[in-house]
Amino acid sequence: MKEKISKYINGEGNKEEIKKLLKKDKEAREYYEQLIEMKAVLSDMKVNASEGTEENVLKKIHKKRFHVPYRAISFAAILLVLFLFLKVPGLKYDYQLESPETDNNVRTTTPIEGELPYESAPEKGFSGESILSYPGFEITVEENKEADVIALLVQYGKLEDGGENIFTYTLNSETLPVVLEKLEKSYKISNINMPEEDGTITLTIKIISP
Amino acid sequence: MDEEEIIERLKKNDVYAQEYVIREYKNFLFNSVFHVAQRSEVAQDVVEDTFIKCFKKINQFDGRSSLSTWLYRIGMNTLKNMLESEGARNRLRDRLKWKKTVNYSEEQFKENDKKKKIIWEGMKHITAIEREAVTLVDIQGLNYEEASELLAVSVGTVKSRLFRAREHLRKEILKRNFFERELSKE
Repeated sequence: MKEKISKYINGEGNKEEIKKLLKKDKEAREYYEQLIEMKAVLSDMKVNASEGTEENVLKKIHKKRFHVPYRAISFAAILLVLFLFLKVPGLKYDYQLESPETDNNVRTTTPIEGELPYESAPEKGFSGESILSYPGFEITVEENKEADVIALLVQYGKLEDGGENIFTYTLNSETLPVVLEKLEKSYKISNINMPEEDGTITLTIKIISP
Repeated sequence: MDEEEIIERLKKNDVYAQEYVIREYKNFLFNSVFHVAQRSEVAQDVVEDTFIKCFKKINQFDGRSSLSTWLYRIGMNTLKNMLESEGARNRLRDRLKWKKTVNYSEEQFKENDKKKKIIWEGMKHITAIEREAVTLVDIQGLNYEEASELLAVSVGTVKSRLFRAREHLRKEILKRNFFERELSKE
């Protein structure tokens, strides 16, 4: 009965049958009247969206479109700065020369085999436990000369990440002094990473064009 | 402007067509979302997001349904995603305090409109699916066929959902003395 009445108020069903039912059955009539009243109030409950909807939406769409070039330009500028800093040898060299003697964490060696610019460096900073108190290291290697370094690190370290020209290895307190001792005779080494909580240290190799 | 022309112009990113579509459908969308979500801020956000998505993805509109149906479905999916997101859950927690909602309903339905407030309260106690059916048919005034297209269900399903929804809502408002005056007359 209720379902029929519900459909009837939407113009469905057998009208004559429902009319008879409503005349005869008081409960049905009461139900019908309740639904009609409820529906009348519901149909008056329409609300309006904010008047600024058009403006907000159009502003958002066009704002996004205008932002794209600015983002691209900013991104290009960051890339340019990074490129200049990493790829121009003079810039990097000047930067590293600023504090080689006052800062124990920065150690620079020239790529001349068998010669160390700072004689005391290996004894001072890179043996035993003191190694762990130093941040990680970045080794800059000339292109076509990286095979020796990689072979050394494959032997002693664990490869964490490999890119086109950058490789990151993890060394522990035992392997790090050995590797550093071998490497610093021939390559430029500078700090970049902090030691991990477990005492391991990451060593990043950057391969640059000669 | 017929719908085909609107779609063509939207595809060309015509700002006047975009404005026309927003003006034409914003209240329909807002009503649909507002009565299901029962929060004005959520409804307004959903409406704006829906139009943005519509304009961005207009090239994916294949014309198998009407633009209003497409907008409605984007709107309801946006609402669903919004309510499922963490942020919306927090906002829903705020809603449980009812403060903003009650203020809003008073503002929307005018002060002292007791019956509308009772229905508003009753609507909180029926399911979202039932609210959706009531909103489309009883509030927006759509027929069964139109509602079935929007809901992507059969006409029979719309009828049964609507019957259940009305029955639940009637019981809820009965508890709140919605029909009190009429009963006392008898």
